[in-house]
Amino acid sequence: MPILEIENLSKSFKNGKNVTPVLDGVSLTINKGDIFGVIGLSGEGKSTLVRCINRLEQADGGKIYFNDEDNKLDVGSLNGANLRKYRKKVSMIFQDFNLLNQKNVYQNIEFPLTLDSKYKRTEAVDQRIKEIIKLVGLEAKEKSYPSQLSGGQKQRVAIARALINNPKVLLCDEATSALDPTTADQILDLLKNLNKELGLTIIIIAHQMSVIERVCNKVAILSDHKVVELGEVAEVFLNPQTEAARKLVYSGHVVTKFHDSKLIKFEFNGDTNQPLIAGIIQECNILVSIVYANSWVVDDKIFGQLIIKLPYYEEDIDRLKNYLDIKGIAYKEVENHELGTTTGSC
Amino acid sequence: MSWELLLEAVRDTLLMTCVSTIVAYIIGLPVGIILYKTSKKGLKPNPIINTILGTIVNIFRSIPCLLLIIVLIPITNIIFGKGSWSGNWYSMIVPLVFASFAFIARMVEQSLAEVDTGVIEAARSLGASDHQITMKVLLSEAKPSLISGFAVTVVSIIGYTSFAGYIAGGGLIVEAFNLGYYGTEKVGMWICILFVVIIVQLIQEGGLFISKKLDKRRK
Repeated sequence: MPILEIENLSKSFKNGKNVTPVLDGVSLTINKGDIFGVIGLSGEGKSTLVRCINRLEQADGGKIYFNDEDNKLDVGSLNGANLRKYRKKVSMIFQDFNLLNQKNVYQNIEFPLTLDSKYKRTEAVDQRIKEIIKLVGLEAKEKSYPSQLSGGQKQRVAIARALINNPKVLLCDEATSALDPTTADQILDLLKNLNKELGLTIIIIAHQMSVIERVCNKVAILSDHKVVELGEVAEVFLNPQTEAARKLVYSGHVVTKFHDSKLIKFEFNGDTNQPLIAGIIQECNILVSIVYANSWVVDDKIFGQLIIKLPYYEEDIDRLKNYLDIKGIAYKEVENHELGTTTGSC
Repeated sequence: MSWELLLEAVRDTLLMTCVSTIVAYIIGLPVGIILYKTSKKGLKPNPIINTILGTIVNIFRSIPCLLLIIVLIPITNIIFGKGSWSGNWYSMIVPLVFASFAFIARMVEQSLAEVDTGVIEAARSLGASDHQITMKVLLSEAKPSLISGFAVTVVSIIGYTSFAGYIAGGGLIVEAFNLGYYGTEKVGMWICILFVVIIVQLIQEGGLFISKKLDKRRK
């Protein structure tokens, strides 16, 4: 069931006479319970997209609909109290955490509640705050101030603060970009847990594939301010169709010095149980070199791809193809430029 | 110099300073908040209000306190009754308030501008209204800076009280001046100066101490 429907969203920033497009006709549907990744290089409008969702920015054109139970809200037309009410349902966490520096962990998490004019710190409220502190793993830290916390702990506070009002959607704007890889993974795992336990819909903005791979079930790739690829994470990552997607998927993995060699790509989805490389070496008597290999787990299934360099001699190539056909292993010959490494080859 | 005279001078200085500070803050704080709110990066940018208010503030900041005393005599007359204020401690209240509220407004504006815009944005994303952001985020996050600004303001108001001498007012600074310039009691002058120094030290250091104590950013 769609919870957010984004239709043809466009936005540009004007600076005097200069008009810089940021979003150009972006359409997305985000279903309830999705962990939806939006990835793209810097300056592609990812942040602007989420900021339009909670109206920190106003789009120039297009529509965003939020399905709240039986109500369909036109987000762009919300004002005043209605907008503030909507924002309590669509919470956000940031790259720089943005905690209240003069308030401790408990007070930071309590802050959204105090925005209600009738707010009182009752026993039940206190229980709820302590519960959520426990949920994000910050027990014994409730009296600490942000300056006494590590980056990962600060983001946990931000997550708790974002969740205290029981939002339906959590927007994560580069939420792990300022953290070291281990801490980033812990935060991502926490988000995944929250998604499972609370049924929370999460939208994650990132510029690193690893972030999307780890938690998202769906991904949209932004390039040139448009959505260029959209679908299940495994589907998009195994078969990147566009230059932009290939750059993101293979970046840092495929070395440009292979630019004159032919490559062959295998995809597997967890059903494969054969020792592929060992088979090729033993049965075909060909030494292969692996150019790229990656695997990840989506919904408890392993997906992966493997790219090897083709042998130099034609007869070896024939033998290899023969072997693969007999074994019924699907493969694809790929050109180096299809891996997004055409630029800067040596 | 008699103790009564000294006590009276201390009392006059403290009363002048306290009352002017309070009244100046009652005017200057909201003006500073509005200046920040309507500024380009504020919560509700409004160039018209910002320019008008900014100009008024600049005008009062550019007229020296000494001239404000003369210019504002009609207002002092209206508030305290014509002529009856002369020589009393409150004779300086109106000029002191006008001389310092503009200064306070700029100080407050500056303190609020130092609050991280990310925090403001986070509050907004959590459903806070502009008013709530002002009260619960801006003022609370800027508290240490506002308090150290307060200490600076009070010290400069104490400095301004010296002008009381021109309208037959009193206070420590005027007393010191009179004793040193007209009288022969140099010791009395030094005692008065000592008291001024002590008061200024207490306020400045006290303000900084509280500001640091309240600041949770570095601990």
